[in-house]
Amino acid sequence: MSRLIIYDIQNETLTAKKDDILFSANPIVKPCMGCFGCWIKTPGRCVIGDRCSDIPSYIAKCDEMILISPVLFGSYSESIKAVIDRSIPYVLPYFRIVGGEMHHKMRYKHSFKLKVLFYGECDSEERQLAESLAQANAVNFGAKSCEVKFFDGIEELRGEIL
Amino acid sequence: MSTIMLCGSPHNDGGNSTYFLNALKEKLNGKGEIYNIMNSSEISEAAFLQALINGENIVFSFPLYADSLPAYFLAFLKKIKTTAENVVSQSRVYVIVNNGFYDDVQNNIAIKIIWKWCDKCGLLKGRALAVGAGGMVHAAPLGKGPLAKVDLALKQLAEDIENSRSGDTIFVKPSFPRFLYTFMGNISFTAEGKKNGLSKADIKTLLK
Repeated sequence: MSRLIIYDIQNETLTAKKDDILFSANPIVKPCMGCFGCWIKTPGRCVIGDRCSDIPSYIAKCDEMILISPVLFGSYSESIKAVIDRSIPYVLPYFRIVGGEMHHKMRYKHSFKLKVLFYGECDSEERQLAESLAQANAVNFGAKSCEVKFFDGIEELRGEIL
Repeated sequence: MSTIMLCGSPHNDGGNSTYFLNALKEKLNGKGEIYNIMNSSEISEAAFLQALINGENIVFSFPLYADSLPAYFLAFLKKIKTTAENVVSQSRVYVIVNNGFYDDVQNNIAIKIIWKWCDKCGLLKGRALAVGAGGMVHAAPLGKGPLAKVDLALKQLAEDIENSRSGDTIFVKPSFPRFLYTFMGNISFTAEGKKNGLSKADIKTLLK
């Protein structure tokens, strides 16, 4: 099973399996400018042209995408969010209805499992919010499943990716 | 009293987020200063601090990005949290979130994130305006035809700001059928691609 692991871990290394693709969200990548260039100029690829521009094609090849992020106001960190924002070329600009709400049509027939591993201090509201956000992203990216877990710190979550 | 308005849109001109702030400012009889955090992060931060000291109300306006806040705006909020924590202020926070999907309720997670940020900073919550069907915002003058309800919602928000009132989120979208919005949206993306020499099949390209 191929895995894409996008992580925001400060001053720590991450050990993964041999075939995993590891993508550090640090230093933070350039933000999505909302230009839609990835849909109407260079379909499937962000026009910014940096190390994050290949993320949509990595997603298209993975069986599981794992996000590792501290909780920030019930959201991902700004670094993980920057990568998520830059991932929209994975889907098409065109619209479809899912669960009674509008979302984007899928570019690929492929689908992946989404696993989000949050860490750090957070209250129950933040947990609920972070889980809602991950679930909403899973719908938008057409993920086949979404699993969300919370950990006190990095050490506690290491076992999840080995 | 003036109101500080911070635009969190990554667009150079602030897009719909600035459009709503300009409309709100007009309803506040011009009593507001608009800053785009992408263009001037330091100036926006200084203006935010001054607003806290003065007890002026604060409005955030931003587009929905992947179900929540644009990353740059999230980073800005993280940065100014320290400023907010160190000032005891009567400022109240108001929010306008707009999205390109039809459904206004999809803005709800982003609004809750802002309220959580307020809790962390010790700032008072005002009211949020969740606007759907952002692609229709310029279909008519504000207050006319499909934009009548959006105009009323902005008027409500302006009244709340003037009176420093809080309230439940107002969910609103231009009055327009969803099937037509979907149809027109799909056509417009194909047309925009065509301007760049791309066919519909090109737009659907699969990367190796």
